[in-house]
Amino acid sequence: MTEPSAPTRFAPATDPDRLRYDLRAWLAANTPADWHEELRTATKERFRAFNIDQARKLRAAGLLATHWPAEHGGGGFSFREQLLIQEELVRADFPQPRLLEISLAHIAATLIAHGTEEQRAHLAAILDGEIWCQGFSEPDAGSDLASLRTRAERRGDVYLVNGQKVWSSYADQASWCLLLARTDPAAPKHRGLSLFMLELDSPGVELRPIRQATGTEEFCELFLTGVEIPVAHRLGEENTGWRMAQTTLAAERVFNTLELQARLAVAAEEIAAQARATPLGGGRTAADDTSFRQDLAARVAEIEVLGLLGQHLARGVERTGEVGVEGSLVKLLYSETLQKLTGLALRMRGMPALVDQRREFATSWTSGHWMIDHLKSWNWTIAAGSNEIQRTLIGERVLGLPREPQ
Amino acid sequence: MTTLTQIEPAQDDIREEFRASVRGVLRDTAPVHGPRAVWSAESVDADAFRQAADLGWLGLLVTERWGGAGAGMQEVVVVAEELGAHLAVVPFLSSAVLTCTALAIGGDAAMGARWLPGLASGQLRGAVALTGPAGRTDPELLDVRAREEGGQTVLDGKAGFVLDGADADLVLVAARRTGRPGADLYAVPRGTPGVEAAPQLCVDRTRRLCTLVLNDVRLDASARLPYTSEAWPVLADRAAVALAADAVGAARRALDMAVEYAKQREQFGRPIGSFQAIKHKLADMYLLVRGASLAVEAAAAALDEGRGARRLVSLAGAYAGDAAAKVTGDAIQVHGGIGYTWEHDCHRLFKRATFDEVYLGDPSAHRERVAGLLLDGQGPSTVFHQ
Repeated sequence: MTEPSAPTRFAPATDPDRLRYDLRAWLAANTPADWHEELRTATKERFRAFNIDQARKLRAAGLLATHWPAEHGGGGFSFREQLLIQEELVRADFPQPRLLEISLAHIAATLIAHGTEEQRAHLAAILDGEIWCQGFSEPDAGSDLASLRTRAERRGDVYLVNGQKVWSSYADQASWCLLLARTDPAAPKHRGLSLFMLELDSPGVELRPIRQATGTEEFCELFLTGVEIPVAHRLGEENTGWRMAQTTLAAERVFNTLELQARLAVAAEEIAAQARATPLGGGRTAADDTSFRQDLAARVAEIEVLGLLGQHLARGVERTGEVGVEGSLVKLLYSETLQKLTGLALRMRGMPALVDQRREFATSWTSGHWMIDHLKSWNWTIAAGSNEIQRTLIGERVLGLPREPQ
Repeated sequence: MTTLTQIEPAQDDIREEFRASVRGVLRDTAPVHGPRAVWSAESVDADAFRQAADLGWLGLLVTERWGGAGAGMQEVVVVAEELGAHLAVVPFLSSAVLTCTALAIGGDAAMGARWLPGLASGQLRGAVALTGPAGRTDPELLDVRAREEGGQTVLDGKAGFVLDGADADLVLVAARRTGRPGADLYAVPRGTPGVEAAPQLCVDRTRRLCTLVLNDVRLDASARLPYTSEAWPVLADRAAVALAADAVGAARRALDMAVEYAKQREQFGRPIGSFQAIKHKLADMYLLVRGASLAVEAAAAALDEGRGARRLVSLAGAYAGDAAAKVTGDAIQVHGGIGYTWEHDCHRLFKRATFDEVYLGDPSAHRERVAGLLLDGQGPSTVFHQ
């Protein structure tokens, strides 16, 4: 058999078997060796360079923004093709540019939906590796996000911004921040917010990384003191920020589902392989344990359902351009399945799972360090609208149940 | 009204129209009734059964050659889900799914010609007796034995938990032959001497069970449907998916009822659905119903297309079985005391879902099959314990 030669650039409307075959060849040639070990001890600068490099490779191959509309530089791939691409990237263990995740998903969705021609120029910059973070949550505005207090006052051609933001993922690596701030303190809380593009090297912006339960620093606090944002950097009309932020959050819920589901499926296979290699004494392995077998199968059923749900919703997005409130279902099911699966894996492995590998960076939520992965699953059940908020959304917006008295 | 002959595979909107039509028919002919007699099984919904026959539901899995629709499991799950939602007493699972499938797989042309046209049209009703007194399908737990004697087959023993068996025109009885592994099915027509049916009152009153006692029952040698290790899984998989669909229907209805109740029932001066304790429970129930329904549809499609079905069938069986038990149970909780009364339908939906969960292979058997595929490279080929 001759060595397959990988195409340099992938395009839609290819025969799916051919696309898969070509992707495998490309991935075999382009997946860096030993990247897990390299990232384990990497510095922040090295981690950023690695991410930008991975993004560049994907972009050159036409695989970076497969879900974007073609006119904005996206791949124009059909839904089935996107699914196939994600599956192959995951199976090959190709490290995704995690630092660009917010840019490629939330920021892009917001810019495409609400940005001016000039603001959309950032889409091209994102494809070139422009890293964004989000400035939404505040110390006193978590689940009750709309009560946030960071103030943006109009002063001629600029807004003067004062306040504090928290839980901004990778803000210390980013050059821009999508900022939600209050422009009308007299209006009802959801109606006085605006959305801004904040350049992070502006005077008055101070960052402080937060060390997390896992031992690593992925979040930051943002202190904003007399920061000036040009009016031209406001997205949409003044005081319509809440609705736009909803779009962003909705995209946050569905965009990565396809990749995340594929990763869970691969993780379940990995856990099965580890169980066969985990001795229990008496010639038995963890794979022979009835209760483990039952639990693993229950998780596999949930992963399958997550995939069906994600595909169903993504097809809806393709048809209508909107995610809809059912995106909350995906967030709930993914985060809780991740939590249960990683908990199962660590308990199956036992003590070896408790040895801290002191890993600085990972590019997935199922890295195989099950204890750390398990801890990180709380990031998923809490962030992007805690699961309690999601259940309230489903109850009120899908089932039509009455709201709580305010 | 959409009938089956109009259905082409993979036409989603036509299938959706079919679903609406099934729902409409059942709303008129099998309304969820009010109070029912306590110590008796419900009688067959005669109007619904007639409509089911007229509209071709009973012949969904029968080929056109024998007067059926030549449709597949994707249509079966639409009907099964609506029957579950309406708590309908229609011998659909027993006759249209299990008997028709068993004959199509194991029966010869003569047997097909004799039975399938009548079963498809609803003029005849069939049943299968796949379990012994233990209620399990494991061959070693079957009580009925078959032996050859003077060119005839003689059956002796007891079959338990036979669904719709008491008034069936044909019962396919699973029996072991001495000295051979596995079991085969034997066609026992109504009125065969030596067969006695004793009703077993099921907690789910919408399911009519009986015990069949066979005493020196003599059949032609042609009554045997040879069952191979390839044939059993087909029957088991179709049974699992149809049962899961019925359970999804029951769960969907229980959720709808609980949501409506939570909107109108007031305590502490406001609707109970405005409290997070209730709202979040209902959100979880909704996720389970949506997920179970997608899993069942995917399994049915895989069976029809003959690809990767074994895994998807068991994933659907495991997920939908658990989901329906949880959702119908939580619906009782949301309703509070009224949901615990005999007059209310909550308990009937819970019982229906529990029957669907336990009958012919429970979720833990499905999970074991999935675990086998993942951990051992292969699972048992069927949740029927052959």
